[in-house]
Amino acid sequence: MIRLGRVLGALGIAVTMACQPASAQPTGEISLMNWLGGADAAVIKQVIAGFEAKYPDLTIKQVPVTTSGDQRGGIRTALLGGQKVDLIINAWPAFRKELADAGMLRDVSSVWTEKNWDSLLSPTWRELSTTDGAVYGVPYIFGYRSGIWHEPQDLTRIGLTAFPADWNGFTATFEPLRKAGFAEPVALPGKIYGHSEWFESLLLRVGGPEVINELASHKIKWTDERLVKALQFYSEMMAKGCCADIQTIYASHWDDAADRLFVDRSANYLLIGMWINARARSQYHLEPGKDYALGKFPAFGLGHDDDSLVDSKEVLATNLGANAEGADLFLDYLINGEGAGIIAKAGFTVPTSAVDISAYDPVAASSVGYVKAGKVHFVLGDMLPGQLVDEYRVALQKFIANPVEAQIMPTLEQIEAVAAQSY
Amino acid sequence: MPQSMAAFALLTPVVIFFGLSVIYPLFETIRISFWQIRGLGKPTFIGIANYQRLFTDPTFLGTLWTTLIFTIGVTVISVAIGWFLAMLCSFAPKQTSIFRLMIFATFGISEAVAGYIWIGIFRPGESGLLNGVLIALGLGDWSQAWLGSAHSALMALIVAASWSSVGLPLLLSFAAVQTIPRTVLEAAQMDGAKPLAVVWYIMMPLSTAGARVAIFINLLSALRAFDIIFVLTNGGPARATETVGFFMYRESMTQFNLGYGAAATIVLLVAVLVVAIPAIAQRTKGAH
Repeated sequence: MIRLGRVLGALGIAVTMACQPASAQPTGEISLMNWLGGADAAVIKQVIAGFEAKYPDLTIKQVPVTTSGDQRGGIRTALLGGQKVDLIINAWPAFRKELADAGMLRDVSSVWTEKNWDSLLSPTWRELSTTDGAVYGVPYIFGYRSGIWHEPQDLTRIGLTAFPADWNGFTATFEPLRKAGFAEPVALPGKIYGHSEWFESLLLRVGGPEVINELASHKIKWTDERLVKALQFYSEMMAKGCCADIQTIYASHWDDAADRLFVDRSANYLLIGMWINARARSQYHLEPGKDYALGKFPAFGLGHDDDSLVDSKEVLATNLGANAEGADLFLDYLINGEGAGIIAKAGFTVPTSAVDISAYDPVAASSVGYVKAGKVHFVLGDMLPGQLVDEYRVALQKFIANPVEAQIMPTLEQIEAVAAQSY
Repeated sequence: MPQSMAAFALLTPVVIFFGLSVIYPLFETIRISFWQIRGLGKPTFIGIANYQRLFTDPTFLGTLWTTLIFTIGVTVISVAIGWFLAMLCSFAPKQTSIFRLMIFATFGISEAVAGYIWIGIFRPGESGLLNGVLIALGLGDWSQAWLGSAHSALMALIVAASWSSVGLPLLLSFAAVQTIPRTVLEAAQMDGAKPLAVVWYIMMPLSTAGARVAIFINLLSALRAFDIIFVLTNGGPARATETVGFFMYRESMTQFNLGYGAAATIVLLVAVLVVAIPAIAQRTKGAH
């Protein structure tokens, strides 16, 4: 009897020990600096709810940052004011470097290895998340930025069955589209930054991600011949009658331009980010893949035709907060099936392979396919220092008002003059 | 408690609050304007270099001119319309009370909201309200992208900002007209003065006090304007509608050149004081 009691006791201890985790789970509060609004904010809220349900001993406190326009100003102000957070949502690689240079970020390279994030994020994504050899967080959403939104039936009207694959084919559609009654084949929003999207994708096709990377770090000058070439293609596009008059371009933000494509039906093409997908579905009540589609930026035959520009949102780990372990757990949750599944279900494309492509609508799925086909790089605008990005966009604005060969070099020299003082 | 002690006790909280919320940030802004601060990087003391750069920066010099046009335009239009409407309303105060309330309500709308309202009006293409109306009236040739050229965008901004600034001059001028003794107006009517003469020779001169206050307030608001510019034109096209207030925001918050932005802030502050001090001095003298 005594022996049986001892056996049962030992068994009980063994069972209890087996049920205990190998190492204690972190507990307490994780603070997350969040400046997002709209659908982006809603999905983070859902992810947090999922995380807290999975880890009941952890709570996430969102530290809101709200400023008009560029949110980096608000984030800087909060951090300089002494705000302590474990995690920061970021969308600008240049800002990541600024935070890293200020000594505010925590290198998670060892966590990346320990948690085997390489099995979920490709080497490209790791490279894109790396600043000066260190990884400070994980990307959780990306958007394809080299895609041209269009309505396939417009192309049918001019006798095409598919989106033009190469540049000559693409520019050759302008005239027949105008003859078919469309006022502007390309809706070009030049009010703030939409006009620079075209330049950046042209530059990608001419010089590949390498030229964008070198330009972003100012290893090459803005007067480089590849940039000249990209502006020549921009000139050609405008000379062939791509767009509306310059007043309309200047007065248009991306939402006006999208309205002209999807509502007014006066335009045919729009080059802008993946947020149009959510707008097309929820606001225009269009069916992705049927009513509208996303064409891959036309090929140039210069060796970079499968490369893509993307934007992304990432969560960065800081060394300011008190709960590094909890923060790492949240990063892990974001890129694993549960967290990433919530994000994908909300209509966003995710960089992690934990989500199957079948989770996306046809347009989002095509964007994932384009991104997987070649090399990937962030859009140039997100890589440049604040002062330079502003000057670059204004210089391009002035260029498209008079897009002639004689204006190319003065435009690039003007940007280079600011670039020389910006690093 | 002696009276002076009581006054001191009552004033102390206000002085502390004012010091913390106005005086301290002001001195901090002045201090920052002598430093070069880029993003989260380490600040460097550069003396008056930010001010030297400011007055050789063609973009900033351009904003001074734009600010002048915008400020004068908004003040003149809003006060003139507000004053004129006040005169009209004075002839039938009761019947126009709802009308006055509606116009004054624009004063309570935030500039950002006003900006979004006017974006809908000035939208390019037929979907813009203004263009739509012009086309409906057979004036389609006049329709254009109102925010798409330097000239028309600035004019559009002035119109939009004036719209939201008319309420105050209307209210103040109307109140001033109401203080004119009825006997003066009745005497003029008995002497055969026509309504226009009553307005020109009696109501307008005797209501200048209200209009002066409105000019002062609207002038300062226009000088400091930011929200409506941010929403409506974002300073464009190609910086054509950037005022000093917008420049200050762009440098400080977008480019995070805090020192340079602070220098622009001090220049704007000086401009505001140049307007405000004589006006306050005059009001104080009048009170004595």
